[in-house]
Amino acid sequence: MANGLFNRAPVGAVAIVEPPVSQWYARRARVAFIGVSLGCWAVATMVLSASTPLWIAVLLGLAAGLVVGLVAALLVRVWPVLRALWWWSLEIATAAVVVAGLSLLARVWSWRLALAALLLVVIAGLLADPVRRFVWAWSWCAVDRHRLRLYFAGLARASGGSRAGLLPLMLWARPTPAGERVWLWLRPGLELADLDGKAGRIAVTCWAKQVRVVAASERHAALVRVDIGRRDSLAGRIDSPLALLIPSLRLKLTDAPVSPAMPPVGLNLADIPDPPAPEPRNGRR
Amino acid sequence: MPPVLTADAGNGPVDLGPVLSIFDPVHIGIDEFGQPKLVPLIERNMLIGGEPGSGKSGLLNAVVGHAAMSLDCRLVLFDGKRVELGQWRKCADAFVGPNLEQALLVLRKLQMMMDRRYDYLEDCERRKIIPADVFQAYLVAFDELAYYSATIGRKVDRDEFSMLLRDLVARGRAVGIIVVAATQRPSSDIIPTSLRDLFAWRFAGRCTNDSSSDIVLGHGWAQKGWSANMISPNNPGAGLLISESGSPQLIKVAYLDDRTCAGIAAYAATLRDAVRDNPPTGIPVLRAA
Repeated sequence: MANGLFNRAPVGAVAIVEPPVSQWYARRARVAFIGVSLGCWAVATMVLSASTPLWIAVLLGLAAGLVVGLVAALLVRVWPVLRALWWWSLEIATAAVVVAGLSLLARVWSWRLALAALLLVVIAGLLADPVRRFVWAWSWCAVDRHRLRLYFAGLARASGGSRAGLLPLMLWARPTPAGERVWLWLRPGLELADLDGKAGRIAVTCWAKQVRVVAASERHAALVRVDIGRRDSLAGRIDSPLALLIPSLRLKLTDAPVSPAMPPVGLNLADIPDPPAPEPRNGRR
Repeated sequence: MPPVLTADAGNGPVDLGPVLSIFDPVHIGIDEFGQPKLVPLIERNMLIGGEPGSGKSGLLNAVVGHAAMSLDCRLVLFDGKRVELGQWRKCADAFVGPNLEQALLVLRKLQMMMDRRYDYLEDCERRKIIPADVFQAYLVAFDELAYYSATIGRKVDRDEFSMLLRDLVARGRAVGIIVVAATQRPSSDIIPTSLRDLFAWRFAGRCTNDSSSDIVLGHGWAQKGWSANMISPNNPGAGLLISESGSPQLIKVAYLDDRTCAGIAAYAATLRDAVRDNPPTGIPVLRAA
């Protein structure tokens, strides 16, 4: 496999699976091939020996073992590619839906009309503020998942361990008023303490202002939450929700309350008369 | 949605309005990621510090506002300035202005009430207050604590004030007495260190230096990068809160303007009066919204 699909790449090519990972999976594929082949050979031989002569059972079992082992090895070998496809599944699915929609429209209208309709939908989405914000916020969620994966891949490489084994599972991501919130499931070999002091680097990787990594479960140490901040959500005024409970306060009025009973007299220093001089103590001046 | 208080005078149920419970977590603002920050207050105490204009009174009003809207909680308010908590005066069982003698009197009465509650719990073979108990929780709120503990009156009275406050904070938890105290810099001359460490929740609004921040949050947090000195003076209401997680969290306190505060206080006072005076025309009950 030295000159195979995954190892050699021309200058400037972008690798879907990087060489160290590829080599690691190549070793696992060899082990899988040997283990599955031997196991399948033994089982097939035992089963076939009941109905055929032993030497035929051995030969047929060997053939079956080779085929099954090859399939297993192939699956293990291409697993990093399948996983990369899964990582990008959202983008692939979106692109597939757009292309499929366009081709369906093109059967009814011309290509130009179909493209114009798509363009119209995109422009309408960009102009409508809620739609634009919605798409923008969820797009950042997709970006965060990729960027976090990149960070953890670098972390695993730096720690000298197997890169694939340390990549956490990206469970879910959703927008927050300040940025995004991503939940991760850490794999064996990584713990929350390993991420202490690395929030700044994660923020740089995610193109964010700041990041906090905290435990997300009281039962599972592996479940962690990454809060990604892009905006300062604390800059504006935060209204208390208590006012929403009272119908008369739902109307925002800005006038300061005044007292109907007490006249606003003596509220400035000029209105205050001079106080009387204090009495001398013990009769002395 | 909060539950609704309903009264039935014989002509069918009438909704009086929504109410909260002191056993519910209290909304005090949002965290740095824009999520609502809710803190449970029952069986806990809160210390609020920070320089003038840093949002101490905003947080205190948010907490008192929730307690005022909770018909299972009574209020005792101490306010050296009279106007910060003055709007809640009609909702409170006792309101103490700039008068140390009156403050001592109310604290002594609270101490006696606490002892009787413990007698009652002991007799019932129970350890703490529960929702819908025969006695209600009390929120004891202090604005400008330093005014009572270090500014006015004789030293012997101020010492007694600190001693009574320590007793309330240390023993009041289980019988539903919640102490929330705000002061600019809770150093040892304002509040004894051993008493300061009894507050579970601590909020530090902007402080002028790392040392002041550590005085509120606890020793060593500034060294770990958590200092309220880094908060912008142009962002009142932002501060560091130590709550459930045990480590500081940057939050922004929800703000109640004067009109809203007065409206909530009037509404809460009306509800409290309705519950207090209602028995001749029917008994109000809580139902889920």
